[in-house]
Amino acid sequence: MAILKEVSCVKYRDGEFVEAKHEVAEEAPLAISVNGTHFVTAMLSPEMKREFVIGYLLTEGIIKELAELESVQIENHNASALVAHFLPGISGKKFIVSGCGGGTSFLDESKLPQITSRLEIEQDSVFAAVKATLTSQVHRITGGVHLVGLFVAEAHEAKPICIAADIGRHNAFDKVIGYGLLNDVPFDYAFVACSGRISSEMVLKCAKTNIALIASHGATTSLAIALAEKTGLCIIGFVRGEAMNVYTHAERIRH
Amino acid sequence: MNERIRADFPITSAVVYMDSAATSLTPEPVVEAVSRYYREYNANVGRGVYRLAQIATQRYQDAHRKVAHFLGATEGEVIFTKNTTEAINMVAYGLHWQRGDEVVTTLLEHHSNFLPWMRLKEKGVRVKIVKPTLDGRFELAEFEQAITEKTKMVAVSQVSNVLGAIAPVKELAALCAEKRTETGPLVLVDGAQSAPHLPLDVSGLGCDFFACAGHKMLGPTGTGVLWAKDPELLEPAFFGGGMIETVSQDAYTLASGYERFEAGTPHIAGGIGLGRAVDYLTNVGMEQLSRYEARLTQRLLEGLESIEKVRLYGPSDLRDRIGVVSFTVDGVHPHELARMLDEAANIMVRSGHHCCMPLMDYLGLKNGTVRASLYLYNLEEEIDALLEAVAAIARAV
Repeated sequence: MAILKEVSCVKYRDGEFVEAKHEVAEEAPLAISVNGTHFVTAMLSPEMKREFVIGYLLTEGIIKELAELESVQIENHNASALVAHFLPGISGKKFIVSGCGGGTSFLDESKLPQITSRLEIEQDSVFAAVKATLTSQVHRITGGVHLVGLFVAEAHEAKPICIAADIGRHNAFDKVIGYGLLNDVPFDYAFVACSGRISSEMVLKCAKTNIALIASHGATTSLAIALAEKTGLCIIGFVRGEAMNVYTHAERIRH
Repeated sequence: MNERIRADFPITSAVVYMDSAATSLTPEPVVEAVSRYYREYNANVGRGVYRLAQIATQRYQDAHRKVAHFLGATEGEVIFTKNTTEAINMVAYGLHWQRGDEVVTTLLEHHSNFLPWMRLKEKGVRVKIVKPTLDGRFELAEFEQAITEKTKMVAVSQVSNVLGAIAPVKELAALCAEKRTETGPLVLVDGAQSAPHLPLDVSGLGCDFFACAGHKMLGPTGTGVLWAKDPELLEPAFFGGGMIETVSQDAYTLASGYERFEAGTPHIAGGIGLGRAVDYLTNVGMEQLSRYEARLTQRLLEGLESIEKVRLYGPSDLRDRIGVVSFTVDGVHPHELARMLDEAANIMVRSGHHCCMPLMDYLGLKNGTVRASLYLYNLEEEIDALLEAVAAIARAV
């Protein structure tokens, strides 16, 4: 898998140092240009690059729908996107670091998108989705990386659409959004499960794509909760075993 | 075909256009794509690092990919040319010929798939010409007889631009594959009349080269395509800027990809427009388009057959042909008939030899024919208008 790379290391075991090999998550830059102008350079796990670029352009508001994206060419560490409308105002030189809180969206509460999705799901769907995400093949192989799963609520089931891994949580999120766009997934009926902390950035990405629910094995933050209240997003944290904490818009959980 | 399509071709509100086999009308989205290049990102391709150059380059590259996808080219290289003629000449010039090599072509070829091979006679190449039946169909056995171990190239049209007849190119390519040695026969398919009208899969066709005209398939004039399954077989016909990796005082290395064959500044806006044109055709759906045209063709053929003094040329079975329909009216010169159709009925049709003089000789039609050629923007009412006008002229003779 492109997400892993075998490296040399010296292991310390039982009082001794020994030469060894170990697999680590691969991290690589991807410089994205939009209409010929450098827009952002992301550090990411180098797989699902196309999905990442498309998802990122959507969640950053550069495009509102796939039809606005006329071309994406990816060559090694460069991605070049052409969008239908000319963007004289785009000036990039931004950098997404692979760690946490590296999002690039501006926070202007007056421009917060409102989620119009009427999604309601059952608690069992939440458990099933988080479990499916955490036990995915990707996670078993790599460990350590962040995982985001995109699911569609169908009858009483959570139908898995795509599970993406990345060294960055937001990157993994953008990858599943890109996958969803490319595959005509109805985001009004979709929700997201993830392995890591739900940040304000993740909330904004959900709001921009009209995804009404995000559930995680991990925690969330005060700002994420405040924004989720206003946008209509249901945040669920600490989904573990038979337990979960619903922080906002609990009416989206049928019980 | 719906109103929306019709609205994309403003000329159709002014005239009845039935000369699509010569050049098709251009839909608004293609005009828009061309004008956007000049208005918004006019720059040369493959040379600059600045923003406009990058946008132009990316769109021009995308256009190649779109055309490759449209043609079903899963391998090889799609090269943009200015027309089918240039594409075929690039093959005739680009292959290495030896005295005694043979080319097999047919008597119903457009001059563009005839003269480039005839010219090779100067190099000692022998050109063999397979004759069709009088309605433009071929027996595979005729080709089998013509192909020898010296045959380097078999060059045929997939659809006749005079008779509308569809040639069995897939079967012919399979026959050539059976006989294939290190030197040939290679197969070139002239798809000028097939690419605009039939669903295509050039990789599955079994040919080595496929040439077609962008301007006959809703693209701008000055656009054509050559698909080469193995571009290494071809020496570039033109040398100069944009087609090299490096140049020193006494050596050069050629670029890879289509750039190798597109020396100099290409028709950038045209190429991008052609990319938009194949998007347009894909959105309409080639299967659907082909079925629609078959309905129009049937109406036209049945109508013409019922008019006294009208002679029809080409296959009568719709499975063997497309909507390129040649006919004559006894006692009326084809040019005169075409002029009358324009002046009296506002209908634009082609007349004369249609760049197929050897075929006209063979059919004994020294004045040629009138040719009505249809496309997705034509309507049944327009067919009826043509039939009515032809009937009136025939009665008056």
